[in-house]
Amino acid sequence: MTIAPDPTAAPPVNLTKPEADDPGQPAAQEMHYARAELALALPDQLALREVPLTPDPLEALANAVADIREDLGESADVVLDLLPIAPTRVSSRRRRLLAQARRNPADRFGFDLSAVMSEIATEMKGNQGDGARQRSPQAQRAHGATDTKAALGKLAPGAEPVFSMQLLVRTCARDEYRARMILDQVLAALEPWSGENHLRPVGLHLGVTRLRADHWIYRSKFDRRFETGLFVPRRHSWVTAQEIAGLLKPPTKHNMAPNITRSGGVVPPPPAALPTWTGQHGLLPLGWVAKSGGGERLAGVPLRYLLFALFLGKSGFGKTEMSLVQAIALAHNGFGMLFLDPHGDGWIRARPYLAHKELADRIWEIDLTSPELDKMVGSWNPLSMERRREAEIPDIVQYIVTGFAAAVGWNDASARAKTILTRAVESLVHLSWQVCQAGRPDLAPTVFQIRTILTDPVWRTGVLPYLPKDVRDFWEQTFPGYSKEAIPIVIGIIERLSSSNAIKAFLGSSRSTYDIRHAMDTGKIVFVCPAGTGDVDRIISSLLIYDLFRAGLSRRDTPPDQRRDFYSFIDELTSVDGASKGTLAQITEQLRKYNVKLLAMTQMAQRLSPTTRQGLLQNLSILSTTASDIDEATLVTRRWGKKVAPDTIVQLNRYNYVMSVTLDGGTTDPFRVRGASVEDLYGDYYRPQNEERLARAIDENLQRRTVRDILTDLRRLDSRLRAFILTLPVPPDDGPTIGDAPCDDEGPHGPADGPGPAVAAAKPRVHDSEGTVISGGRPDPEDETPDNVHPINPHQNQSRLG
Amino acid sequence: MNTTELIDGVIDFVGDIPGHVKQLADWTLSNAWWVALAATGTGGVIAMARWAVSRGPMPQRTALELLPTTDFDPKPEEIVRFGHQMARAHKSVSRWLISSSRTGALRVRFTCFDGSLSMRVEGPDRAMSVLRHQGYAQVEMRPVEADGRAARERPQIRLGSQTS
Repeated sequence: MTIAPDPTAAPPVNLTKPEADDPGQPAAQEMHYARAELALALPDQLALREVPLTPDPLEALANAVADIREDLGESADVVLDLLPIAPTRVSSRRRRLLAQARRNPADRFGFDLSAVMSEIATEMKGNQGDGARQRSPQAQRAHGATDTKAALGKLAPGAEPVFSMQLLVRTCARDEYRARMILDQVLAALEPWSGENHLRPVGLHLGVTRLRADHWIYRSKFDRRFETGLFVPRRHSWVTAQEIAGLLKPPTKHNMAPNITRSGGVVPPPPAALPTWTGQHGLLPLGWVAKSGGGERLAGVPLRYLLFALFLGKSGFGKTEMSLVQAIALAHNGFGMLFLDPHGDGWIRARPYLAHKELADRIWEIDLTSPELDKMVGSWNPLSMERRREAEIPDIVQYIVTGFAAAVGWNDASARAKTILTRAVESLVHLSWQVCQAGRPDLAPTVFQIRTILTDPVWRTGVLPYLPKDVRDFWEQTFPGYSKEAIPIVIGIIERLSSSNAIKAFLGSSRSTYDIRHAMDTGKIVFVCPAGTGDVDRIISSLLIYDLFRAGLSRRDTPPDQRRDFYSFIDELTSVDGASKGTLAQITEQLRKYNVKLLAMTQMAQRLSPTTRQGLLQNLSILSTTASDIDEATLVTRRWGKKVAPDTIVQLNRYNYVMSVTLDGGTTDPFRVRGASVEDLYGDYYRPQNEERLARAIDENLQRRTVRDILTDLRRLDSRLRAFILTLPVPPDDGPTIGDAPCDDEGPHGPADGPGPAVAAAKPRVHDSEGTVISGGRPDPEDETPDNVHPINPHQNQSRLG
Repeated sequence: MNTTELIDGVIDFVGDIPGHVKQLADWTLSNAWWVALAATGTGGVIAMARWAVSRGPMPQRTALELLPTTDFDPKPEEIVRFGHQMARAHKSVSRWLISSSRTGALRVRFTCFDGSLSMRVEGPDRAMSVLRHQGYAQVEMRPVEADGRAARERPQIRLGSQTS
């Protein structure tokens, strides 16, 4: 079986034979044609054999053309021209046939032996009562009916539609004999129709041979009919649809020949209400869809209906390309977005299209693919409490631990490791809070200090007095009782993270320049490119995604109308599922309330846990799939009712999708989409010459530092942090920790992180937004920003690319 | 007039039949030239009209490729129905009763592309636009573009960052 190539991607198909009317090419002159015109051999009320549909009569034809070499210019065509005959003409023909039959009733049978014999038999039996005599007229009537039927042949009433037929066969090859051979093969394939009537090549009978359509007498007219569709049928040319049923349908499933062009499956047409995309602000581009009148148009789906999108299918089938098209459109249209792009290939493709001065100050790039020590990188410390409030600590701890746990696949059985990690993170976040309060956010612990706190008892003992009592109790009483086997599991994760320079540099800086909440609120264009290999990658992706979720949910402190739309393109959603049952589904459900729209891609929806899958599928605005495995396809098509067969999905070509979207009237039927490529759409936006300047702009946006610098700092961090912590006053044992008091005193509306004398020294490098509040009230803006903090103005570097 | 006279009249008429026949033959012979001419003329005019209609350019023709799915298994009734649809579609070609049959036929073509057998239905634009939506259930009808990519124009995308 051959799946039909994409209609527009296919090379041009000429309806006429290109060799025939292209005399300029020398090859064309060498081609030889063999022609045959077939017509009914006998009067046309006699029927051809009604060839049954099983097995498919076209199987022979498929076999006949199996060895045609297109590359050598060979071809074979069977052309059946049909002109419907008006019912009045058919009836008048019937009348004539009947009249003829009445004039010479024995015409067909010569001598009706059966009638005579039955007559004799009746006479010999003698008169046996009335029954026999009464049956006689019935028998006569039946006999009459048989006569009528015989006279009308296939044109008996009910045989409509009747067509006048012209059947032309032409083959072409470089060799005259080969052309004839192919022709004979094709004619042989039409032989099963021979029955009461049969098909015979038309031509003048010369007694010893017959002039065929190849003869110069017929040739030019034949070719004219063949090429233009001119219809000049022979005298006996009427056929009924039943007779030629085998030729009125494409090959069926009973056709076992392997060389059949088949459709990849039938999919409903795209909804008429689907808007055409030309770059409009409010639409998300999808790709090319078929126009009702032929041709294609670019379709888009209104962003206001977009809550959550799921793109499924094999890798390498165009999921990333579609996301890039969408991401570039959103970026240019002023929306904030996060693109999690394993390997960084997407970023490399998108970069020249985003290197515009209008976008320069909005672009962030986190590239974790390069091991170079002199590379400039942004940094992210999930544990940093700079510009955060103490009330956020539980949330931060929870999301970091969930991120780790999801990535390494910890389940309930790993409770001990999870507890240790939780306590370690909690301790470090508290320490971070302390140093930030003391005005040294540059000494905040990073995730790499998890290892220190677990393995270095001296260090741990040094910082214990600065932790809340319950955490301290854990380290002093519970932790020593844990078996030593649980600790290496936790440390293993950190060790794996520190195996990559790029990740070490990204996570190893005490101060964050990457803050996804800030990106959300200011419409940043964020590309994060993990190295795309192995565990480390999963961990970092998972941490980033859970941080995204946390940041999204923290937007509850912003009035709904001020929450800017933020679009997150996340690949391999499966890698962040599995942390805890249904968390992912709940989060995505929640996120849409805070205008964080998730466009997730995954190869296997089946690998998602059932709870997550149900939750996600429930809220989908776009469900799209490219080719996938049959089980996966069944899962998706079940959601579409029986409108698309799973086989259809399995057979999709690359860059072809079937998707359903949400429009005004609810979810649409699935329809086909052909992927658009970035080059096709955004040729006008290609600015490779600006990439250099874009890199400099990103350095400035993210205040990037070299990997070498960060690693040097990280090596000294343990000792410097401990030394600094020890200079701080030890908080009273059972009392509130530092910084807690003002919060309690001033109530929920008070400034949670009011500027202390030390905080004044802190210069946030990224934020110009308010701090995030998870469970408290909204902080007072006046208290929020210390006097000497100079927030980065998103417009201050507008001219950098100018 | 009595019976005898009537009978006499009949006898006279019968006796004179050769004369009547001769009269009729004379009349026919003397008028045959223009009767024949009128008949020929009428026939000629009709033939001319038909020829004139068919002589015009072939109507624009389009082709649909009929691509069956692997599950396509039509019943005979479905095929006859498709035959009816073809017959009906042909009626859309022209509304003139004297329209030529020479140019308006629908064509079923079995051709091979890359060694694979495929079926196409070709015909005048108007017929095909009707037929396009009347296909088999498990068959995709895909227009065959005579010049491939021409149907897709290069998109003109205007993104927000440029207009603003």
